[in-house]
Amino acid sequence: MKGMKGRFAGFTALLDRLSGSPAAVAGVSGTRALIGFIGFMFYASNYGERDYLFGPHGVYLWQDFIDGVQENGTFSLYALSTSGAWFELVFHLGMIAALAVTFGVGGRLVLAVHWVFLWSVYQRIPLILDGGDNLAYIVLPMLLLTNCYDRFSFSTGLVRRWADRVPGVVRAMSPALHNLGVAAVAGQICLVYVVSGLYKVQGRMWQDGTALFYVLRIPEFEWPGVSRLLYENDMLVMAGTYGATLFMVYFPLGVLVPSLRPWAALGSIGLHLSIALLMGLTSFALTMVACDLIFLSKGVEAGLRRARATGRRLGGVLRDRKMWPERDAPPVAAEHTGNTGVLTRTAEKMGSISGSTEQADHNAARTA
Amino acid sequence: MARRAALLVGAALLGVYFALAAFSQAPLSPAKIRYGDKANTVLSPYFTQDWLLFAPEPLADDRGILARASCPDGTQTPFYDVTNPYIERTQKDRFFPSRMSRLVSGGMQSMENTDPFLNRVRQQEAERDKPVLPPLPFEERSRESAVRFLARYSLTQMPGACDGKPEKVQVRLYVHEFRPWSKRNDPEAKEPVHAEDLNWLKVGELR
Repeated sequence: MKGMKGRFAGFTALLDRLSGSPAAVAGVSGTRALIGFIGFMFYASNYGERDYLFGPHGVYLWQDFIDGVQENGTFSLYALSTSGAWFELVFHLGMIAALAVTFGVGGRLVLAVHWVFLWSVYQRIPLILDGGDNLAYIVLPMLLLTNCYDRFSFSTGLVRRWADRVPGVVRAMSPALHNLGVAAVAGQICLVYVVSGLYKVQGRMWQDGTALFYVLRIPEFEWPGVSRLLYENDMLVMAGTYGATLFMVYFPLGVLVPSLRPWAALGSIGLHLSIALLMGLTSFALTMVACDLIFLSKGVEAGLRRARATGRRLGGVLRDRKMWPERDAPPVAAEHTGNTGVLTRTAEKMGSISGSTEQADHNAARTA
Repeated sequence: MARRAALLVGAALLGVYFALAAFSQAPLSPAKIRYGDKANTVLSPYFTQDWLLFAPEPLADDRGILARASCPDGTQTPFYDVTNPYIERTQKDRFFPSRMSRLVSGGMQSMENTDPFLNRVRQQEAERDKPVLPPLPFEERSRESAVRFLARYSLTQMPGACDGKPEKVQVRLYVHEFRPWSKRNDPEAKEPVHAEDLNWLKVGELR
């Protein structure tokens, strides 16, 4: 009886620990920012062809699109109207939402809106999607559970005021939900690796260590002049093929062991940056990198701290320079030349009595 | 108390989700044949996933399409290369290349959309020299839709054909096999090209 009580106490202590404080906040914030950027680039890289790819009279027949949406029992904002103006509005709003997610504006409400727009545009022409898009639309709802706006974001104040109105009980659950969201992203990326790795193990070309020889020759993934250097080198082909397969299969073990976790994540980032560069699969590779960031949260946090400290030091150095205007000095009224008071004062300090914009701008540039 | 409950309920839901997701990605098995559709129904459409990623066998060839048009006066244009211009553009752009080149590869891939179970049945029939199961109605529909898409795409890529007024369009699929690894250093090694001409389609039906 005593032992059972002890075990129960241990279990509740574990639950309290897991729901007490949010884990990997910096990492998951990085995931949100990078996935937002990738979403934005989906719109930007196809901007010139947007009407052809996603418009109501685009290459993918409207009726096929509507049939697909209905067959899957889903929705797309693009399906609401065949008007060109509606299409442009939805496309550009989607672009703005992606940018807002990248810069951390608007909180999780905007993240949900971004998912709606992204899902809508993916549904418009599913033929052009890849594994990165698949991962993005699965991970975005998971991020909604997390405090992924705690870093790399601009607070608008409005969101904070709304958050203050949330009942205390719900707010108390926030760390638990956050940790569940982080666990979901971690589990998802591990599933991607294990499934992909185990299927590769079954493939003859992956078993032979020759898969890269063929993959790198496919014109869609070829980097002219560079891919050849790799696929004509037997050692690189074998090392790359076996290395990628083994890494994928053992990745979950790497992240389970805390001391190996950053190395597993760094290995994955290295692998995917190579894929981005060599195969031109930027979107897919960076989505994988974004998810890896949750395993590198400490590193991301330390990087952020260093960046802030460097920024402060740089600011201090600039302020301490002889020519830098005093921060608390009263502003001098702008002269009729159109200069600001600060620029005029800077120019005067430098011994220049010229009131011309050109000279003042030149001096200001020198101080910078 | 609320925190603990949220964590427990959330963890249970997450467990169910990952069990279903992993099952949906598992290789074909009697259990998957029986329950696979149920798992997919729960996950579909917002958590549908496919993580094969160049597995088990990556493509080992260069495949694409050519297209030609038939004009009102009965003449036929030569074949236009409607694949490589976008491939070349993709090759030049390493940073978020446009997805235009995927229209052909995605369209060709969806021509082969089938069920893994049917795939295995056909493979076994072929190995035993038995007549292979013909395409089922859903496979035919999927192929027809993909063929129509490729024809429509091709039409938009040759605006000058027949002075902009073609009557019909025909797509030619090609597969250029790469020389195998065992013959990588053999300059005489053949890299055969296979082609299949699809039926002519009326332009009016594609718009």
